[in-house]
Amino acid sequence: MVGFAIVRSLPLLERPRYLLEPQAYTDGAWFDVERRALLDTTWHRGSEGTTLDHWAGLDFSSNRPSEPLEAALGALPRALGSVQPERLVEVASVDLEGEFNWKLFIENHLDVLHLWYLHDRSLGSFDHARFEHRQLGRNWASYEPLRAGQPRPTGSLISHLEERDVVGLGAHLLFPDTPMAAAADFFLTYRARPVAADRTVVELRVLAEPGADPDPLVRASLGFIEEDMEACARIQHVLWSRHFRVGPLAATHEQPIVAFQRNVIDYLEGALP
Amino acid sequence: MTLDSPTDLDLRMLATEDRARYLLPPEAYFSPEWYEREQRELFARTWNLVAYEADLANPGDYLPVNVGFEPILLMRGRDGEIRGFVNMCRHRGMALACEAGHTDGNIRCFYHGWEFDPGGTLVRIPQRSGQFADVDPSQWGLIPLPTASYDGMVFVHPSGDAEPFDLWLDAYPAHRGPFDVSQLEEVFRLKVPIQCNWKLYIENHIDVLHLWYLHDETLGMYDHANFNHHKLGLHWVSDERLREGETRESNNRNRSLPRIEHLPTEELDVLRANLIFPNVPTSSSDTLTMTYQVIPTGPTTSELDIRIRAQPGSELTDAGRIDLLKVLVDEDGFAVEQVQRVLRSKQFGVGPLASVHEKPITDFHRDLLTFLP
Repeated sequence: MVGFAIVRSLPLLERPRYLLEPQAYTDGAWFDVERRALLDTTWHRGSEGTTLDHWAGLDFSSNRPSEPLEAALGALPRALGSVQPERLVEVASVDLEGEFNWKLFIENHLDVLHLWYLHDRSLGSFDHARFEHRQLGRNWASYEPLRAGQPRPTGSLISHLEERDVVGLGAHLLFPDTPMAAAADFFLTYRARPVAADRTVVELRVLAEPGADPDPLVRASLGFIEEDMEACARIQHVLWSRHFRVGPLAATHEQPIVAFQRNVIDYLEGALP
Repeated sequence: MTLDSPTDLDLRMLATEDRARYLLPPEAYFSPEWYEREQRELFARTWNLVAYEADLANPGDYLPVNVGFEPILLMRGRDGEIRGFVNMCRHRGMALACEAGHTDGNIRCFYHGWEFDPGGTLVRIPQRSGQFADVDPSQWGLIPLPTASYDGMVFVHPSGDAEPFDLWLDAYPAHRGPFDVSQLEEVFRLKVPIQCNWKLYIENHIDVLHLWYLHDETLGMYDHANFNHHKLGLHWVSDERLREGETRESNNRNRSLPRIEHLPTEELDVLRANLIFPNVPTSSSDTLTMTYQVIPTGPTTSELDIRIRAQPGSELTDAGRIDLLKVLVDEDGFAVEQVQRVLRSKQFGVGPLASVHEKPITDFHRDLLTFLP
């Protein structure tokens, strides 16, 4: 397993700042360029693209891959902890449509700071103060343990997990649009499939031990994903305002957003008019 | 008020005299591009009715509203003042409120916990010492928007460069009728969806000619031949009296509510219809004064927000409500929905307009076009 650097301890010379303008989230022409230059050339969870490949029993696809899936995954598989998705089965599949740009959903996924506030109840049992995260090329991986005093999870636990992963939660990203999450009893992928500049379908796929009851797993997943989607839709609503501006970002807890935006811009450079 | 001799109002009318004609193309009533332009260039650049003061009765009350693409948050401060802000947390742009509410303390962003007092000042940044040590909260208060109260109504200008509200109102207050709304209270509110572009409803409201025909029964007791109307800046006022031999009891609407006590005797037979530009028709009689704002909800859909103020303690009966809705919805609403249906026809065209009775439509178009160059 790859060790995690605790990013919050790194000294920063400059406060992270938002790199993308509002039009990157609202403009149809921008979206078209993004689709050609970024979304068509990268890998996504699912099988809708023209080129298919697999990792750990999961389908991935791309229309015009600029690199093999293995290269796109890079060090991410080793950063996921002890979970082995190929030993699990898909127990539930839910598509959720939201009125927001796909990047908002990804940025929210990478945002450490919001865990304390937006998810104060749904993820309140985890110790965000001990949240560890690292950038793995364009991908991202994280881990946080349960707070002291929280009961050890019970139920249909994934049998092959090491103890650290039973009492912790991992949240990861395959760039650009496939978040993943690993807990004691499920492994999720929830790709933010872009539909339009201001519309996204979140494709939740829940993997668990064969025979696991999917209902509590879906409920637990939707508990935080629906909060995230609501937040994204509310920001999207404001993005149309001529007054929209992002203010100061957290010194470290919002740094992954900036890294994500830089990666997006790298793909689009030269393609934008 | 009626004007029998030339006044400054008449002179001002002369300045805009020209032939009554339609200035907008059909697509102005159904194209998404026009709709978006209006949202950005018209509603975002003029004063807009956004609430009644009574909607925010107490300090700490807040109300989110949208004008065009602009999300607005109204809050009544601890000093009793109603202020408008961009409904946006200054941290990541989150809409602070999605529904009306009240706070005895601060309003808190549910995303990352930033807190603002009812005056818009940023008063708390969680994890400030570790994550925002160099951030000066005084620089990150809510963005204030020009806000004004008039006749118990709250108006906001979504851009930062509003002309003063009094200048924008022009002479409207002096000619809108002798009502003291502080002596009235809201007795009825209803929101009605209408399947038409918002402008069609406004044009119908300022069309004098249709009174004889569309409303031949419901408003037939009024003397349309002596209908007075005047353009006051961007706004429009009108009045007409009951025809000779008619009594105020002839007006169904009047049967439902008691007479407004403070009105002078000469006002009792008068029906007024005004327009606060761009989308707030008003109407008043001896028993009520009402606004029925036409809020665009799409290129071909609108919502009528009907709000009636009357003598305190009075109640609009079911019969009174039916009579009112007959004029506003069953007649006016139905008519403009029928026009909307024909607008997409290749054969659609507007013919000659009445030289005087439909002239306000031309003026309305011209005013719109000053915002939509």
